[in-house]
Amino acid sequence: MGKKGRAQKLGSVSHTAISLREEATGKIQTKAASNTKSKSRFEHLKNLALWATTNDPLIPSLAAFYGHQYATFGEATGVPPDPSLMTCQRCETVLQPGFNLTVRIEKNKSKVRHKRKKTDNITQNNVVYKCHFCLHQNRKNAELFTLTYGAIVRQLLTDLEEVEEVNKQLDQMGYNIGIRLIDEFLAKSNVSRCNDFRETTDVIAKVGFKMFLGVTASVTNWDADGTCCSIVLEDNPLVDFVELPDNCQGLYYCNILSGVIRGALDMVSMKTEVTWLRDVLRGDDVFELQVKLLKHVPEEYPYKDDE
Amino acid sequence: MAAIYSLYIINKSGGLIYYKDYGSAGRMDTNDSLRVASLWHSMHAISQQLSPVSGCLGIELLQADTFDLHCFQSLTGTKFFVVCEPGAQHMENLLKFVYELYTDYVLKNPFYEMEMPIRCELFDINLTQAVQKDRVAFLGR
Repeated sequence: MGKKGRAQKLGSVSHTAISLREEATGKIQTKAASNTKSKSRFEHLKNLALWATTNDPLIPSLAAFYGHQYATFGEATGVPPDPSLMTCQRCETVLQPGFNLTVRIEKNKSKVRHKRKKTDNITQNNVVYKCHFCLHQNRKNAELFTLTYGAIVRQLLTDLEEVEEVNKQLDQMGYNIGIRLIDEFLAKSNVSRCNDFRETTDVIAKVGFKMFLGVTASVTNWDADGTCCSIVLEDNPLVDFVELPDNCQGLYYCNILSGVIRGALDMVSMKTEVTWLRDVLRGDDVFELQVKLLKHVPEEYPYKDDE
Repeated sequence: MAAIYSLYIINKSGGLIYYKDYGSAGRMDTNDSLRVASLWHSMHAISQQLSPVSGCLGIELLQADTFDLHCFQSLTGTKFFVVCEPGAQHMENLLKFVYELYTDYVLKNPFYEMEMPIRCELFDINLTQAVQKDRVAFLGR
């Protein structure tokens, strides 16, 4: 949090006198706490930095300025920054979700396949906090996301016992997410109405997966009448660290994703069927989702014109 | 600054799920607001059928002597509309922004039931900020 860059810039000013031991024993903290004047100044700067980010109308440059002042003063006096506040690594604006911050999940770029040697495999997902002022993408570890999903699947297996039931439940959970997610997708991606199903699947693969999972997918295997195709995913942040045990071979671990797509398309009046054709966890080389358009429900009102 | 009289959100089956009025002009009681919402839902549907242009998506702007009504319908069928003073600017942006707030603070709230009336405090707070200071003009998107 701003410390690295700052240490290089201002290292000679603020960090020369501080040894690691001093920091560990809290000598610096007691020094700062004893000085009421600098403490109240620190509080004041913090309030200013906060105020500037939530104020109406937003003045982003002012927020960055106060954020910088706050960080500089904090480091000069050795007061640790408030852990509940998050600042941008580059411009030091205090980041507030909903005001000047977008949060997304991103897949680490390393192209390591899931073989049996997990120990030297350091894939790691990141939560990306994008600052609206300087557009810097602050990354944080997102293993919690992957682990949480794993815990959910585990719990479902315990509760429902049958692998088939778990698949069904994951699909239903995905559906419930999809019917809400579609609105966010439409509101924030600025895509317009799709002309045909080809365009729709393309948008899902290129924009949708990028936006919510941080990976891109490709669309292949179109059938002749353009109602059935495959979405191929090479990377999937959900399956890091996962090995399917022998008694769960029928489990579609990522079945939640197929549910999300089905739910999302349902809300824009397309009835679809989404099934997994290939799964890395079952020994295939990629993930392949088959999306089949069953029916296009026209947006009409349920009355007849002449009645 | 453009004065906004009231804001409505109706679900895809025509039920009013959110109503808020600002300022004194055009204040209505609950029954009237429900009536306006369902009336607008039907008029919007009828306008789609009557339109001489093919592929019409319904009324976007209704101009009257004393007010303008701007309407935005998302592709999922939820309608957002504001009643504001005649000639108010940037209302399309405001509606888009309200849609974003709705996706963030209503749909992502796990305790919100789809298609039901919106009772989310965070949504209220953010909406008030957006409308009061007309921040939408600043956002410039």
